[in-house]
Amino acid sequence: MDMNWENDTSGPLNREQQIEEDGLKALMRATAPVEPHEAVWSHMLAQVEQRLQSSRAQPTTSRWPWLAGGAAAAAVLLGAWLLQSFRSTPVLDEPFPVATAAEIEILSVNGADTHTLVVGNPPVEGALELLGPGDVTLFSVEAAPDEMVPEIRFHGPNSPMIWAHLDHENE
Amino acid sequence: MAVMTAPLAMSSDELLLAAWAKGDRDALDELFKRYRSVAYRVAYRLLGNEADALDAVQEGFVKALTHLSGFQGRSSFKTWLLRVVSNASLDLGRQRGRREAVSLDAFGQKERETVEPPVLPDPAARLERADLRQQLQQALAKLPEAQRRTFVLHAEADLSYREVADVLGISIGTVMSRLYYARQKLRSFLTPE
Repeated sequence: MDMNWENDTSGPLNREQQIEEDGLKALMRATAPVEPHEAVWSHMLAQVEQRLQSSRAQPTTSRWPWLAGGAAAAAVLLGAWLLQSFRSTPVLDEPFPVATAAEIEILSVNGADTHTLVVGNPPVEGALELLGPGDVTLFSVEAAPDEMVPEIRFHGPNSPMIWAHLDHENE
Repeated sequence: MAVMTAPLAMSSDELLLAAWAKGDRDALDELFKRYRSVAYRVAYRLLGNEADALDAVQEGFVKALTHLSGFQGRSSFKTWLLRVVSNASLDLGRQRGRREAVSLDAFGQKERETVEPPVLPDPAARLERADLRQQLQQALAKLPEAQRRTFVLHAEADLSYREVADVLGISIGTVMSRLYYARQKLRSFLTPE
């Protein structure tokens, strides 16, 4: 058995592994990418030569003066920025946006509280009109289970108006 | 322009590099011809498409020849070049995002003019080959980067364990381990359900 497997492409594989590897290599060969046309290679070689010549043509200069100058310029800029930061007027507090309107789904909100919304839009702006004038025909009126009888107003521009008094309004 | 002669084609990589350093453009031409195909195949396997692979090959040759001090004859020029090309391929892949295997191949369309191997004149056979290539590329794309790189260098570039270890700067044991797991995964990816 050949123990010099370090330079051997097959390596110390068992028979099954070797068959598997051979199969994969055969698949790689069978599906090798199509070789580019010679014109493509010629163009690439020209590009490579041009770039190599450009890198050779650049004069070799010491980087240290440039680094020192760059560091000095950066220090000046940093100092100017810090000085400006200390002198600048404080920015007024602004609401910190933790969520956008698109990320908020309003499930319910009391009508009286809609003005408190800071993000998102209520589903209905203003009064929700369920029925308009002339959409209602009154046949009869009965008391509610709590013996409340609504007030019916037959006259006026928005009649008939069915007005269910709240408890505190009866006091 | 000097005509490439037989001695140049038979020269070792070291002699060609020395000749190129002295300004011999034919030496560069010879080096390029020797390794452009294997560099392209490696880059293609890592990137999955022709355009990016060609960019990586060009970048690899320029960097390999510009930074020969990093080579210094410690390994072969081939392994040095493939190291630089595979690095360039992975950098390019991260920058551009790995694209899907070129679907254009499946329909016989090419971004650049290419040459079909003469052994497959049948359009059906070419289509089948292109489909197989796409399946293999998709399977390779599923491998972790380290395993994919190791497998491609070994199976596509035909580098030995030691050469792969030199290219990647890892131990031979790590090469073997990565290849083992790469084979396992490829077998599962390529086995029909």
